[in-house]
Amino acid sequence: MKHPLVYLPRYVVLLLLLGASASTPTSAGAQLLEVKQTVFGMDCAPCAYGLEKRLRNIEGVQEVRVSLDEGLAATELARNGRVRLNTIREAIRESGFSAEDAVIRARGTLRQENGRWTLVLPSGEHFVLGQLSDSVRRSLKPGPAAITGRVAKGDPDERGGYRLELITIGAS
Amino acid sequence: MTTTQRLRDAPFILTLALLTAALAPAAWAQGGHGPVFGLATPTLPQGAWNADLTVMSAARSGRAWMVSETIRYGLTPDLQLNLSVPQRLERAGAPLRTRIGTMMGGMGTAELSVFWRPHVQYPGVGKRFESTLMLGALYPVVPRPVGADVGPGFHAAAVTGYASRTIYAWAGAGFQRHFEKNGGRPGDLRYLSAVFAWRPPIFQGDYPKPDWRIFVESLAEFIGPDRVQDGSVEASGGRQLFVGPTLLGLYRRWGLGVGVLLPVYQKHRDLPADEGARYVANLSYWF
Repeated sequence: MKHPLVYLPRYVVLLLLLGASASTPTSAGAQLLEVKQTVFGMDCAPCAYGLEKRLRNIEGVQEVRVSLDEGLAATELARNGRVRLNTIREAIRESGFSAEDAVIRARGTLRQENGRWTLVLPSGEHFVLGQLSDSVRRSLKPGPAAITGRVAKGDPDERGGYRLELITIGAS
Repeated sequence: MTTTQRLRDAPFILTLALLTAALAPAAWAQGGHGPVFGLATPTLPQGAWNADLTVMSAARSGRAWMVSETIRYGLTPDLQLNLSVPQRLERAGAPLRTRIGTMMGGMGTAELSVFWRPHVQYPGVGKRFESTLMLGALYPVVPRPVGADVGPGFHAAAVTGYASRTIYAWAGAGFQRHFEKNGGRPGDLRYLSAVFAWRPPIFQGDYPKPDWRIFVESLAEFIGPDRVQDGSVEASGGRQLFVGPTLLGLYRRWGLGVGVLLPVYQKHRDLPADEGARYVANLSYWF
């Protein structure tokens, strides 16, 4: 029987791998970080109060700001949460309003799927980057990334994907 | 009604208010935020509760005062359940054939109703075009002082309109019928409702600042004659038009509306007196 210390290098490698995986965007810290959701149809103080309360009740939502004049519901989300854009939009629809375009800030893993760059979040939602300039396209690399972008009104596709108009992108 | 009688009724009103609070679990807010007399389209969000305490008054041969408690619940964003229960504080000398607040059960009847919003469009920030249908079952809970007996009945109404951050406009129509009791029944009520509201720039602060708006409400009522076993009651029925202002203030989960409707036209069948001004004060709370 070999001495247990013989296995020490393997344990160290395993621990290093675990540590590395913990720092990738597929774990804590990688997800939707902020959603600025445009809302149509919200016209009164109790409307805003109700939507604010409904959004605060979503697990992982840290801050909510509702503006009647701007027609905006802005949420800041916990870094270790799993809030989905669709959950926020569903809360708006259940309040009796229309969820229009949203500007999101998110961290995730950038991948190329079927020739399209896609930011994949641990929640399962993913954002397909549309209309990229050649210079941006050349600069993209698979791996952790932080993006800001505009998501048009509408439900995700059957795989949980939204089309996203990129505003900024950086390394996670 | 004596002061002693009023005090005796106070526990009933208080019980209703407490019942409302007890029935409301963790839920959300929003909801009806319109006129106090006329019809309006808004419905509550899904899972939301709202309670109203309304004091209303109308006068004919003496002034009647009524308090009404209304509980509302949003089944879906487009489907709302409502229960209104009135309690009389002071009765008029002659029967009043009005609902006063068209969205509530009226002067003497409890009402269980459903509001359905089959049409809604969102043309922009703070804007909605929408239409709502209302159907309610009526049950008399306050005895009528004079005139035909009042049996159970129903109320149906439709309203359509536009809401925005500055202007609101709703137009609708309704019909109410009570069924026969002891061979008689009060005349049918048909009405048209028109509401216009404006939020002046000084009141246009963003949430969570208070939200104020001014309404002009009008109600045209067409009242059929009361019926008794041997025919219709001569001194009953007629047509009347009321117009008046309402002020509505909203702050977070609270709303307070106060309105007056003044008679501008009345034509009755031998009634002993014209109807006077109507008053409503409505306190709303969104859970």
